[in-house]
Amino acid sequence: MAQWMRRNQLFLGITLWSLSQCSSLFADVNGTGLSVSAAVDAVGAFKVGKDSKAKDTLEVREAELSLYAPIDHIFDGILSLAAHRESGMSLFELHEAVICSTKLIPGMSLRVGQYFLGVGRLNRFHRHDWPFISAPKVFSEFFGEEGVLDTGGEISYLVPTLFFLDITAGVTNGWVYGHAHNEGKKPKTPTHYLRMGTFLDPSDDLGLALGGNYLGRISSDGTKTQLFGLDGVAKWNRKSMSLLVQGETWLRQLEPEAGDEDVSLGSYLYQQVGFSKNFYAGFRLDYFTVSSLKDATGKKIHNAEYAVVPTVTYKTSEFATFRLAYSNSINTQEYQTDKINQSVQLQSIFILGAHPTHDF
Amino acid sequence: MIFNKLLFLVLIVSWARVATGKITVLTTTSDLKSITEEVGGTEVEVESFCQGAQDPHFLEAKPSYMQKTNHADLVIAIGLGLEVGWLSKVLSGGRNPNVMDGKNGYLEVGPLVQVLEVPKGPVSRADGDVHPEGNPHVTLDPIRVGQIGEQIAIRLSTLDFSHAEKYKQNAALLKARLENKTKSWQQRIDQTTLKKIVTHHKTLSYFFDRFGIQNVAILEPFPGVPPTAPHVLSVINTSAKEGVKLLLVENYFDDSVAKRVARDVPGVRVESVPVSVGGTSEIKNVDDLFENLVRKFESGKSK
Amino acid sequence: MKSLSSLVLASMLAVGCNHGDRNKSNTQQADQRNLNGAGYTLSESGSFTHKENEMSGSGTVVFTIPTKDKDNSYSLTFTLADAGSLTLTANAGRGLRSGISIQFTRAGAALKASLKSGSTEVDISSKFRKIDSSKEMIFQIDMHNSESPTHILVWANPTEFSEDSALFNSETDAEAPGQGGGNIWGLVLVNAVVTSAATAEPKFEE
Repeated sequence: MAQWMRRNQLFLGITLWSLSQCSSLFADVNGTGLSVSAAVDAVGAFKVGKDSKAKDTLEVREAELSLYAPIDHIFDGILSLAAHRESGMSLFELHEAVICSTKLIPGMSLRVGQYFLGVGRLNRFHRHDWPFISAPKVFSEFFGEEGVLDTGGEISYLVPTLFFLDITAGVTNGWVYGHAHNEGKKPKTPTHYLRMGTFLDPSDDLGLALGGNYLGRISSDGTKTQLFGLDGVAKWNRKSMSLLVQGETWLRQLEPEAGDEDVSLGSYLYQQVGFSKNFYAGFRLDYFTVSSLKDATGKKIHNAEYAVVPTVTYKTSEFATFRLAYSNSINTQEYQTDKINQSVQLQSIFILGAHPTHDF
Repeated sequence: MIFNKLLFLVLIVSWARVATGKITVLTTTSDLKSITEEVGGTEVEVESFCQGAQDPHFLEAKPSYMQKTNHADLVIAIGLGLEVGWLSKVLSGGRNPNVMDGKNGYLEVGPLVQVLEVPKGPVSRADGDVHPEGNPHVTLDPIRVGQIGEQIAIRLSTLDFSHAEKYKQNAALLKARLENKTKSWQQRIDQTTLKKIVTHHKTLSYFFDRFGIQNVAILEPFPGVPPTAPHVLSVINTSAKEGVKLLLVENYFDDSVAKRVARDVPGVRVESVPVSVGGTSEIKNVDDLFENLVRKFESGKSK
Repeated sequence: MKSLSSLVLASMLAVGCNHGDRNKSNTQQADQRNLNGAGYTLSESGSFTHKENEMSGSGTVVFTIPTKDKDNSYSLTFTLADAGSLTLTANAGRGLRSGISIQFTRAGAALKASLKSGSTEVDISSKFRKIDSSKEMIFQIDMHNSESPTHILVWANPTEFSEDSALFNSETDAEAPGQGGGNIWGLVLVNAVVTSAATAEPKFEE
């Protein structure tokens, strides 16, 4: 499917453009409830200092077209296609193709198809909905630059308690995990994951969402991967002022069938103040370490990667966002020279079509 | 053992919550909550997602709203695009099939009354965050509030036929009372001779239409877009030219821009007004809401 | 919130400075060898000789400092005696177990090459037909071990690092037989002379 799409980009592009033109017809005339929206995310990264790895280019990182509609009285459908820059070309690929329902069993939602796995915070949101430009180190290491996408089934259950408690569990094929250019191989244990989320509502203006996560798989070559994570987001809003605090901490254990265990730990914390509905200023701190790193004699090697990313955001409306960020990362490893990578990043996001609904 | 005891306790409390016998209603705005409480009386338990001082356009789809939706018998919304940014997330997250769109447990009242400011011709985002189905702030007209009350009574009767007559009577009382008070409010507004008003957003269109008031300018250059310097200058010019004496700012907006306008227009006073029940602690029901608005015309003093 | 951020950043930087201090300490043990500054240990040696800028003969060399990142690039400059070979093993565990390897073997003037992971070997000699193995060879080898299987690119005497200029690309030419399971890298010499072996960040970015 992916190969067909790559080869037929022109045909696909025309088809999608035509669909987008017909969105109002679909929604208004046929009564199908079809919503069409498109999101375009353009990013530029520019060198600061001679050791910077930034490419000094501005490119359309992603152009995503999403279709959503009720299929019938029980099921809804989502189809999401995205074009990415890869090897100098824009390649279309399927992002999400899901049949879902919240009407089969009270309190339960389920989805089947290809989707971003329901774990963590950033992995559950499309990249153009993130409050910052680039992925934190822990996310790109454990989930890839844009998140883990796979095909399978997921159920979420809203536990009938006095407080919000949502339990999500899913199983996906797991033939590939993260960035891959092939269809992968059948794993010994498919990717499986669990998330428990809760929410605290101290006041009308304030909310705090917390989650505990687990993800596991055993690849075809017997490498066992286990991820344990905590995620949290707090939001405060009053009139035009707002405050956002968001963070995740993840631990990954990789156990090759024959080889040394790899244990890595990473975190990010992002804080943002909204001074008006237009203007926001934020600051992200990243931390990552391979805690199991040892030299050839078995001696532990201390290492860490830190990043500081101040970010300013300007929105002319909900549908257009402009960001400027400065990224300063330091990669330190015992017995090695520190590697410093600085860059200035720009981002522009716009949304066309149906009004997006926003998760907390 | 402890886990089993805790689980048992949680389940018992959850069941107790369900077994009160009242209809659990969630409304998207506090105005709808007030109307539903009056119509439903002691047979309903009502909560509103949006509190009085919050802007219902931009509410966060909090998971706690989803949890409440999961237990609800009826969700009442304005519709007309007012809740388009968050309500569908809340409903799908609530995973309660009974309150989904198309079911008896979901009611949109906006389309059930006569809607003003339905755009003619094609609209796009170039015109701002326009509501293509018309202005959704329908509960700011006392007559339409009475009509909405009747619609809520009909829906409550569908869910609870045994009290249908009671709901119908309550709605009729509400409607009659507001019709009566509207005449008095009209007279009082007429006596102020204030007929040309500037506002921050087009929230009060239904109120102005009912009482014959002209909204000569809006601080937002386009709906949903914060005031810009060039547009504020044009509002100042228009206000001076039209002899505007009163600038009303919905109290979930910052009134600093309005005060800037008032500095440059002779004789203009700025009033921050609650436009929802609960917008201030004194606005306890829809009667208080309209009474307070009328008093803003009369004296400009907050209730 | 502001004072907390400052405290966090200062703490992070203080720890970073500590790591910087370690960089200055002399970590070369008296009996450890090094090639152009990169320390290594020798095991299973035959007739192995070492100098500051050269190692020659036969033996298994394990570089002391691991590669923290999953994706790395390795530069090799070496010559081979006839029937001699040089094997680069990357992303391996201790003792160079369960890594991903590329082996170069001289047969007259021809060069044979293969990829290895565990017991699986993939012959990629056809991509190296233009290399004269009787002369000094300079290769830059990217091993992107974050992908499964490992994405391997090889450039010869490189001036630029693109997929088009690569002599070998495992995505298009022959899939790598697996993925490495560690952070250690090293070389296995059989009648080879190595004058440069170093690791760096990947030359090719996806």
